[in-house]
Amino acid sequence: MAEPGQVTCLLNQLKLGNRDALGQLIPLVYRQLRLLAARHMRAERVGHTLGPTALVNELYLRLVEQDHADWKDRAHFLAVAAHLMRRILVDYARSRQTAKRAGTPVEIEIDALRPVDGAPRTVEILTVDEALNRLAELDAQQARIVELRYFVGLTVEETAEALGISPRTVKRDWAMAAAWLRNRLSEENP
Amino acid sequence: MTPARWAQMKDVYSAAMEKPPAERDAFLDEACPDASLREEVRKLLEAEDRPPLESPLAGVLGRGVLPAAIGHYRIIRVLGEGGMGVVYEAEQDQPHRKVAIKAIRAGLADPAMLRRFEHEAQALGRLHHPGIAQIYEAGTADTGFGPQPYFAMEFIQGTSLLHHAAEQGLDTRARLELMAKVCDAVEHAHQRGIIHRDLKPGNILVDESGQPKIVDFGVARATGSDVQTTLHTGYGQILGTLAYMSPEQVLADPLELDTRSDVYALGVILFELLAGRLPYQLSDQIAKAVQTIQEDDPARLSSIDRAYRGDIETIVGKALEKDKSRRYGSAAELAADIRRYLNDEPILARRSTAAYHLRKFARRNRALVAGIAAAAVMLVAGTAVSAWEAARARAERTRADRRFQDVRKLAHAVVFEFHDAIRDLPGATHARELLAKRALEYLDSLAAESGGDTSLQLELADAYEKIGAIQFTANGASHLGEQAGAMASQQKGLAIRKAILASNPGSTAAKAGLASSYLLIGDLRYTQGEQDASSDYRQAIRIGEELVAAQPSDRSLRMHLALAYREMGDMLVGNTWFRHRSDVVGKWGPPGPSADVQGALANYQKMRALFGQLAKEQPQDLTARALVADGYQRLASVRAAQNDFPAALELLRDALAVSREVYERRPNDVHAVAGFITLNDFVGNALVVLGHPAAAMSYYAKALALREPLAAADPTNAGAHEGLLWSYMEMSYVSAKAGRQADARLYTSRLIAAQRVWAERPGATADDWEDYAWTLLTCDPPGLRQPALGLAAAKRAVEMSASRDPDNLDTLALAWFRTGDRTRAIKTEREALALAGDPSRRKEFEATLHRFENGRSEPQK
Repeated sequence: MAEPGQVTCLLNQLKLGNRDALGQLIPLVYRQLRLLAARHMRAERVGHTLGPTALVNELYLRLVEQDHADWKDRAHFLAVAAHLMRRILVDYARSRQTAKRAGTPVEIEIDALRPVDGAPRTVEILTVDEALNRLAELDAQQARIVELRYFVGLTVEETAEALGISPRTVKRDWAMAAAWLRNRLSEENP
Repeated sequence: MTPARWAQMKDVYSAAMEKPPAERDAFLDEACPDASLREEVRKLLEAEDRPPLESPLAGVLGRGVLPAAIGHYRIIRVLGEGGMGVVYEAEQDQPHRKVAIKAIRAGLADPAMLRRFEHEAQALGRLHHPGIAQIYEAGTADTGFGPQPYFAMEFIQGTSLLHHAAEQGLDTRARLELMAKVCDAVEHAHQRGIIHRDLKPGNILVDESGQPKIVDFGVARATGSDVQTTLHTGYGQILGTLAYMSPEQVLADPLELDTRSDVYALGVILFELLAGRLPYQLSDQIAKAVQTIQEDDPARLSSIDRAYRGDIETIVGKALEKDKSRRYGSAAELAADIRRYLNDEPILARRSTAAYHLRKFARRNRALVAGIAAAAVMLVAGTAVSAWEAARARAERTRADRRFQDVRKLAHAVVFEFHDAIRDLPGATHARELLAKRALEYLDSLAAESGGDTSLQLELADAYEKIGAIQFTANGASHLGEQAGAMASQQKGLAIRKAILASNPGSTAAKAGLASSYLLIGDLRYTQGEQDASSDYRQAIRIGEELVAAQPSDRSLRMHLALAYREMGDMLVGNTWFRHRSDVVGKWGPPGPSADVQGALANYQKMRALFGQLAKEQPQDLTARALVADGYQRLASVRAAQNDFPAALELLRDALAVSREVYERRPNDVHAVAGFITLNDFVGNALVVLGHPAAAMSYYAKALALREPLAAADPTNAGAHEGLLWSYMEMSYVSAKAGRQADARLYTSRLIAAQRVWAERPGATADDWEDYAWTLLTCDPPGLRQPALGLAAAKRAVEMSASRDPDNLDTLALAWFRTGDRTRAIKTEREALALAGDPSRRKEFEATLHRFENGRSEPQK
């Protein structure tokens, strides 16, 4: 993770109206996204794939729409970014479903949605997304943890840092939420 | 399901998970008040058997993988990880050695950045200094995440700076010596145009032999901090740890960043090394921390340890100035002051001086030259359009070629003809800067297009030289006072000329240019108080002698050789000593302890022979004549150094005669006027020394008569104002000596009036008020002193400098004393003493304090 100070510094710049700061924030906050972007550089990825670079760009564009937001701190920014990342993945998963139902060929692939061990992930993502809405009503902190762990791919430690809680708490909450989600997934896809 | 129920479930589930699986059922029986809760938790526990939930992004992250090799380096382990990349310990086979590999995160690389990386890596490879971790290679590897730029560099077995100092129990002297070495290394890189941008104790390792080694030089820049159009915009600017960032760096303005930003970081490191803490208490909230760095005064070193009172504190304070133009101009200057302190020599850092006023003056004068500048911009704007068209029309080969030549001609005209035409007009400095800079931009772009066109490269080197001269010229009449910038420009010129000579060893123009580069660089070094200027001068003389031997009839070659002799002579004798000394009217300063008077004489004689030859061959060449006068003047200085004042006076009179002739023929040339005024002063000085005040008076009067219209024509010109004050002081002093008390009164009254006007102008400084106060308190004849007014002026000065300037306080103490308040005088003088850095200054203050404590106060009449 980037040093916390840098992020807050950039958030302050963002508040002051420096839009460029946003462009700097993403690579700082999302080491994962940088790695995703790196993979995009590989030649074989170029093609009809919504590559990680596009993902980052997409996230960037959506963050720009939020630029009126009064960023409180790093955690706040991360929360918003994570929420947007979730929306991006869900939107793509949904559009892919729609395309399949309509029988139109899928023009855009997204790495994150590629099948794992043969199982398509679109359904999984949509299921988790829906379940997460329910979870948010029951335990908001757990829902935030899932958002960061699942939709952004943060580690336990990174999540703890982002939310300002102890890694132990993250581990405990995540264990239960993940168990619950796994049950929901197996109910949807027996 | 309700939140309360969910929370209950969570408690039971979490507790159950901590039990061994075999005991869980029993635990649930005990812990669950109802069957449905038990069932819910049991289902959750069963989920353990299902496939784990993984982030859709996790599969493509590839985190934590240690590559087997990067380039031809075997990776051994991870040494560290930061925002930009990972540092590995690695092994190389041939030669067999350990290296450190700094791999930039692949995700940060885009094609523009990779190009920049290659370019910068070449520059970094040229850094060879024992204080800088050597970069062996820079390359790009593919470790499966796309092209990943990396540096292979010297593996340093050592500890970080602060740790080393603590571990070895270094005393203050050893710590200062260590920092001076660090400064040397930083200077080496600056000379090659490389700024570190991220200096901090963690980036300075000290090896077993005690040699500091700076790592990560230029890495911030090489890795794309300046690429404006990518996601990583300005990334490098926030790379450094905030605590070591200068005010301009926390603003993240890449244009404001220069070598002096590194000087600031060195100041913070020096502070921390001595005090064991940072100069600021920085808030955790970055916005507040940024504000602190930009606005708050750093802690005083002496507030942490009284032992640091004085020079060390002054040195650190100067490095930490918020306005970079008030910092040390280079790491070398900082190192030189540290060493001066260690050698018990007086340091150079002190309150703002003439150079500061000069910069202010240049800034103020911008408005005056707006007219000239506007004309220049219009001319250059035309050039820009042509350049753009030239680029567009590249397909039409012949036409494009012709345009290329047109643009080049125009750029050439701007730099050389138009520039030279306005060079000696008073107040043209800014216009010159603008012109030269713009023209240089076009030449730069043309040079990039033209590849190996030698004549264009030569022009480019000349243009750099000119810009360097506008930025700073040692002893020059008009320049911008930017020493570090001038050094960078002159070094660029030098590098280009060297490169031309490498492919065309016979090029006279390149050789002559090379000599000129050495000469100017030597001047800059000498001005900055470096001792090694002699090697630059020697190079200039060696090349010049070679050229003159090959083409003895070339006037320009001889002229330049003569100038090289002159500079060498100046350096050997310590030339500044015979210039004006504002503290003692009519006296000659002593030559410095290291002055080589004989060596200087030898060089001056060679110089005079050449100048004489040139003037004789072409009597109408006024420049040669002016230089003849200059030669006399310098020989006079040597005679004066040998205490042979009659001989000095004769030489000065010869110089004055030649100088008058030049002045009469070029009355609007600033150099001609300045030279003539100075010589009148010098002849007057020599006469005073020889005991002829009445005779001196007529020379001083001539200088005054020339200065008055200059000051009147340009009321904001600090140089002209100072000259005028100087003349009034001279006249008053010499009148009193000659027994003409009425004249002495007259000139002192004028001095007071002029100082008052100067102090009351908008933009006046604390020092202007202090100078005014000082005159009101101490002037001669004593009947003109006005202690009450002096007290008011001194209070004003102290108020303006927020009681932080020892000299302002010293003057205020005297004002209290002279107005009869001995208690306040003593108290104020003690404050001044507590702030004084310079040892000689402290001694003076101590003597004053002693006088106040023992003397009777001098009540107002």
